[in-house]
Amino acid sequence: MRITLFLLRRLAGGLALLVVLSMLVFGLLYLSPGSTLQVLMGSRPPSPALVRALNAKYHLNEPVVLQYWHWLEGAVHFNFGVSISVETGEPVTTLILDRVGLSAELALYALIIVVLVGIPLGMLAGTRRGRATDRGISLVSTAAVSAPAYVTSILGLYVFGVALGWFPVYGLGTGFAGRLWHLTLPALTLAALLGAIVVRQTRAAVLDVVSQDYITFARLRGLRRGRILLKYTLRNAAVPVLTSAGILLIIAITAGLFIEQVFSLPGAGTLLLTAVTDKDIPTVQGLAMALGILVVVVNLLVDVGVLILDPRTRFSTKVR
Amino acid sequence: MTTLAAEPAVAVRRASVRRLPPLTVIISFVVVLIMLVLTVVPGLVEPYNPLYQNLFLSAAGPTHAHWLGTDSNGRDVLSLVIGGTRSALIGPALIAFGTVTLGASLGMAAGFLGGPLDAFVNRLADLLYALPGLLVVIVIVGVVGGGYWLAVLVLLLLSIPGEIRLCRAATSVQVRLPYVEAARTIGLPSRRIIARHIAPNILPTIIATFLLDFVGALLGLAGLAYLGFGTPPGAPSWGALLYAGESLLQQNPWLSIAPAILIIITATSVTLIGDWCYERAVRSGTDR
Amino acid sequence: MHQRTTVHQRKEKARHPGHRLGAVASASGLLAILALAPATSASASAHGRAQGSGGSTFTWALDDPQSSLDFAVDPEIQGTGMVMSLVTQPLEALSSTNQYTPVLATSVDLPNSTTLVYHIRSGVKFSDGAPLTATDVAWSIMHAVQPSLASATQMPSIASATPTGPLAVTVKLKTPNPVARADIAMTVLVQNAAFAKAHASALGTASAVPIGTGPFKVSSDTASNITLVRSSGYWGKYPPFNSVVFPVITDDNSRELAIRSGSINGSELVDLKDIDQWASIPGVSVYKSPSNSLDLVGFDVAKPPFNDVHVRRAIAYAIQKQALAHAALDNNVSPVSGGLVPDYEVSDVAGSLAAANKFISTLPSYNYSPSAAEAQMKQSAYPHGFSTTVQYIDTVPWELTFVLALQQELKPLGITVTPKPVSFNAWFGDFFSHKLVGLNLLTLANALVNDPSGILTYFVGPQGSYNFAQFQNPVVDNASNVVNSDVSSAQRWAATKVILSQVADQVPYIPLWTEPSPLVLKGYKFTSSSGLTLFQMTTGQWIYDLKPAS
Repeated sequence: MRITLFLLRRLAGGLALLVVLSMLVFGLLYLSPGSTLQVLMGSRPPSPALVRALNAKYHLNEPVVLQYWHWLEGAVHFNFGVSISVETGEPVTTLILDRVGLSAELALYALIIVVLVGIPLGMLAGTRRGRATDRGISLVSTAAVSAPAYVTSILGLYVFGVALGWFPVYGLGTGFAGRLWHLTLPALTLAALLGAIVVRQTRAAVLDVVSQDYITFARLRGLRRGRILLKYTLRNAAVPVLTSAGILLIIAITAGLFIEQVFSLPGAGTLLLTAVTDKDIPTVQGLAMALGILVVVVNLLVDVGVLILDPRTRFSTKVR
Repeated sequence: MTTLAAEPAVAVRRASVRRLPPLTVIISFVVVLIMLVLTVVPGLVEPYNPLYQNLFLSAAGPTHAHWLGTDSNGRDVLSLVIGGTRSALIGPALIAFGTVTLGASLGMAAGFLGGPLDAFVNRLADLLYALPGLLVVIVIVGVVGGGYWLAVLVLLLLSIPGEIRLCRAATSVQVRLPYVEAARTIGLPSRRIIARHIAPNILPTIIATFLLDFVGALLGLAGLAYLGFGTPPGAPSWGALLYAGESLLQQNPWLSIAPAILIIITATSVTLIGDWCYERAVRSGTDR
Repeated sequence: MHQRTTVHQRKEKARHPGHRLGAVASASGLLAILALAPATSASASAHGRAQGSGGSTFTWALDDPQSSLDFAVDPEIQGTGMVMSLVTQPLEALSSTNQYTPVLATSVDLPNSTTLVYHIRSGVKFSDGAPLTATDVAWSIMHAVQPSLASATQMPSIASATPTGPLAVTVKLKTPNPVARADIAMTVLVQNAAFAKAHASALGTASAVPIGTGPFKVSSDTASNITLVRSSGYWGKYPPFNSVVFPVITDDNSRELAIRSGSINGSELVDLKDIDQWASIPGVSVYKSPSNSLDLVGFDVAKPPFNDVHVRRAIAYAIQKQALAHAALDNNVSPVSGGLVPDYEVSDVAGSLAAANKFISTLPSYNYSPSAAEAQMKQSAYPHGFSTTVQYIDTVPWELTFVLALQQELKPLGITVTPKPVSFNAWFGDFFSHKLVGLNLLTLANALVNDPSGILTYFVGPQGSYNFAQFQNPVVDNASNVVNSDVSSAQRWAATKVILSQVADQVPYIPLWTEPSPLVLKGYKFTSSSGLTLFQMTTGQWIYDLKPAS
């Protein structure tokens, strides 16, 4: 019951975020230079029919609050209007759906690499605390966290793509294998950044868990290291790592944008950049809302995940 | 990206009894010191005026006269990256300073006073915490066209919630300690308790987050400049140079490499110092 | 007298997607009309779905998504023109030497000075199987004349086009106009009228792509990719490709990577500074196609401080033309000095290139000289200088380099220059409505025909549609009228000399250089070593001018 209440409260918080975001996003129309009508017309010639259509669609003659209401009404039904310059006339929702798949593929690919490489490395560093392995892993991960995606992707592209020719430098490939091959370098770049963070998190979480009494006890009982590591450490260290999933998502989205840009990948990130530079306000609004929804949903899932993984938190929800 | 750097420190909190290899931290301090000098008196080390153009030397590779070659306007790349230090560091410094001042005071007040203020601040922080700061800045600066200082302001506003959460948490730990209780009992005003007793105790945390906020803002603003937002035309800026160099890799790769290296070593050094501060803080905390 | 003027833009980077403008204008007599293509802008990048070289797919990267596949709506030659001329065909193909080749019209009668009668090829079918009729041709011409469409400004003299037989269309002109036939050849791509009328509101979008008689039809159209496949039953000879793919890649770096990886066979090269870098890619040929697009500086001579001729001369002396050509365009340009336009534009009226040059060499040429600039400033009303904002188009690669250099050179004269980026659309919007103020840079003004009425008179007098300097005085206005009238060559040359002298003396403009329009191919070569002309691009001829690289 309390858990439901807790989740409901989180859900309400998420909805509140979306409402605030929607106001900000709607406000973009008024923040951008030029009249609202001008902004919405983009580069199209101002024919009377167009002006009429836009006035009707956006209710430009009504008070701002009502305009916002109408916009919100559409937004709730995932109707953000049509693109005004990126792909004129195309519904924003279609445009986003067309592009978001590639971004998701890239993120998933990177996530798999992170889970397979980042977490084990972090555990290794955590259990070898202070030794050369730990120091090496920690220093490299610190540097990787501090290297922005736009630097690492340019570096990767020109070193491993252009100069050494190990990876394709352009395009998406055909078929599953081709796609996988073409996305490898971008995914590695993204995974390097996310992995570095996960390594740091995991290492810290493992250090924390390893110092607990039950681990010492398990060791005294003569359980094998590997078993302890897996059975106790991993499970208990998973919570803080999972809690950081929300942050990781934000980083992945931001870094993904730069990586898509450098590798010329037609994903959601490059769509946002194009829409911003082209002042395609409806597309920007749609993307921003989609992003907000994604962030809220992931954070909710994280909350649920933590509740499942760590029963103790179920009690702590009562405290508040 | 602003929030990314702050997080690992939280996780490291309990973990670090160990001292980081001091050598890396010393090197980091040296790097930061050099960067500070370049920010304050770039003219001391710039071989040329960074804005001076020799058009006949457009996009040339390294020579004795120009160690890192020139850009397409024939400006000395070494001088440009040195000149770019200021815009690379001042904005982030302001962001980190503003974040820490505003975030820490709000966070401490919330954590100390509790009640409706706490609830409100906490909700606000929760709300904004989930937003990808840099994307918001890209959208706002890209659509509105405000430039560097607008970007600084928005990044500042968006990094406050994280700071609030941190300081609030740190404060609530302190509040339960006996010395605060004692201070309250003898009737010291809240402001005084916060300023004289709580703040010094969470200061190491604040310094560490200051540095990590700084790194986040540094990477964010440089990324913004790389995308072409937020720098005036022609002004030396690491991000803008990185971008300009991308299409001149054959003529003069240093145009991209130099700012890339500077971004990475500055960010890494400050992160290392931040981690070190944090660990030291935690250690002295346990010693107390 | 055929004059044709284009202003087109090259795009630079994805992060600065600007708007491409395909403006094709025709001038007849005093009329100079420009068409602004409704421009769309760039998507950050696009993926090539090309199969690479070889096989039967040809892949040509566009540097900008097309706002419409209806050429009347988006008459940009290097975009919609190249794509849709493979799908919808012109009546006749015009060449750079003013020769007409029959395409859909087998012949044209000119019974009087205001009538053209087109005889339509029989047995031609649209890709949907419908036969080509006079109705389709007449509709297509009238469609292009619709005032709301960009193409209309290129066909100012057309009054009507009506079917006067099953395969005959009669075009009536409002006034005699020797370029009307050329206008129709260059502007009208014939499409299926019934389909177009049934899809009037969506015509040109992906859901209603114009149906044509060409060797290809559009199989898919998105902002990032246009794919053409062979249309069955084409009346002519098929090009050697089963499909033609146009991925949209707005970023120069991305296009370079795409051609490097073999994802595309060719594309336009936007930044002349990248020519060497592209040429160094194995298997790539770079063609510096002659576009002879003129770049120049102009001042608003009507308002201070640029109403002071000494200020203008000082700035002219302060421009390091040669160094800038090197820095901004890697010496891939031909400097223009003396007067306003390249020598060959006036060679016909002068009688010969030598005669033109002989005169031009007598004009003051304002070679870079800081001391001369200083001396001019001292004589001006602003001996201590002033501050001014100079706009540059953020997608035209050379302009920022130029403005930064200007900033440096004008500083010793006390002139403070503040660079301000603008979008292509915003700048050209102001340009065409004569709202530009202060000092401005014009990029890629283009005359296809060598005659002073082609481009020179566009820049002067009250009728000059490019006259963003507001440069007019009785002497120049009169000379401009003479150049544009039907008098002897000697008289027109005399008037041309007056204009050139006036411009050289008063410096409303500082001509810089002409740029080529570089094209890049990998795995293929153009049959001509100079690449493609705009004529080949808008008639669908370009696809036949490709041959596999041996």
